[in-house]
Amino acid sequence: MPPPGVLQPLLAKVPFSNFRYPHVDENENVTFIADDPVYNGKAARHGIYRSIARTGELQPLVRQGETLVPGTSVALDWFRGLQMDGPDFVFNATDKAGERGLYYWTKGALRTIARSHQTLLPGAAQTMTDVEYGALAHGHILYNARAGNENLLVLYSLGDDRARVLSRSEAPIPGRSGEAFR
Amino acid sequence: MHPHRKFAEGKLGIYGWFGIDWAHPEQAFSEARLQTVADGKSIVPLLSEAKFDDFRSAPTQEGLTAFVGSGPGFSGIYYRDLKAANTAIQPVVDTQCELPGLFSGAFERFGIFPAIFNRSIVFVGYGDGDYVGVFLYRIDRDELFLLTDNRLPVGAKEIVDFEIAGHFLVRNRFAVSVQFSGNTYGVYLATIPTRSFKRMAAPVP
Repeated sequence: MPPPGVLQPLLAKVPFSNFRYPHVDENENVTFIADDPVYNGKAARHGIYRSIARTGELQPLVRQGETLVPGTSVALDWFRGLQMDGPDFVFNATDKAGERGLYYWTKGALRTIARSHQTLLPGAAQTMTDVEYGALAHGHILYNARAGNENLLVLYSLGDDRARVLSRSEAPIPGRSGEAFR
Repeated sequence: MHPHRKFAEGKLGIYGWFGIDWAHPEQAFSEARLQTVADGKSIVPLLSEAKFDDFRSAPTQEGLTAFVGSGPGFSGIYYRDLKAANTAIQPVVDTQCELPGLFSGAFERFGIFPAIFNRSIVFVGYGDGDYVGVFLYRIDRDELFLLTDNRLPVGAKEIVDFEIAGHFLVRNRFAVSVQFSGNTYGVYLATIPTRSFKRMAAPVP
């Protein structure tokens, strides 16, 4: 049997219907997505929250219908793909205008990394039409995006706010002569 | 490239740039330096005739990549360590691996989000009788540990499933989301008690 009492509930009282993507950081604070409507969540308090280990406080960081897409009056709507690096994180979200975006949160500030029908990636013939989950590490965000029929792998540098396309549709697949990424 | 999308053609693969020189990114990310970690042509460990036709999220840390790979009739947790003497794909567990005492038969499937921490791989495994457990595999010792599972309820609540994420573990504490019967959930910060969690048999050498 597993050791008894291993699972201990967080100190914070968390009145949510579900929890996803639980990450723990060096301070034993746990950051997670709550009330995901896809997982039968009632979505009453859908958002990204942090449970503070030292105090038991529950901090809302990004909330459905309240947090705005930076530089717009459009509210964020549905969150997924939460990835952390220390206390900072990236997440994927659909907004109330129906656009899909990738966002970076640090010290309470939100930055748009990519947003459909807004972001133009280097070498792409049109603005991005879709963006997938991002990975955050060492000041960089790696993500996959689409611009029309083209699939692009993008590395975004937080330091100089620059997106670099690392690979794209029709690039050769290593070790597969004559074959290309789709 | 997408963790949830399946391609019938079986042409998915895992690729990466390793040993990146951040001072010279143009050269570091050139097409010539892109390496195949695993694809449909890779040899599947322990299953001589098998071929991968699907991969899920593949976290990477210091040249070590862990992934869920599957093909017709099998699925498994695998890793490849490009800094090791043996850089071939290595098995952790697959759907022919049995853990007597936990559940009958072999693993049935695995959660799509494995995680890597300090030369260890953490994953969620499912077995017969609605069994689900969170496991940690230590590469340096070739040993598999059970962190927690659903054989014991939390209070009076029966556990149905676990979810882990990328930053799963800090020191001897890990964060896990738990789904209970009745479709209720909890999020927990768990402690791994030293010398008290169960060490399982290692996979076939």
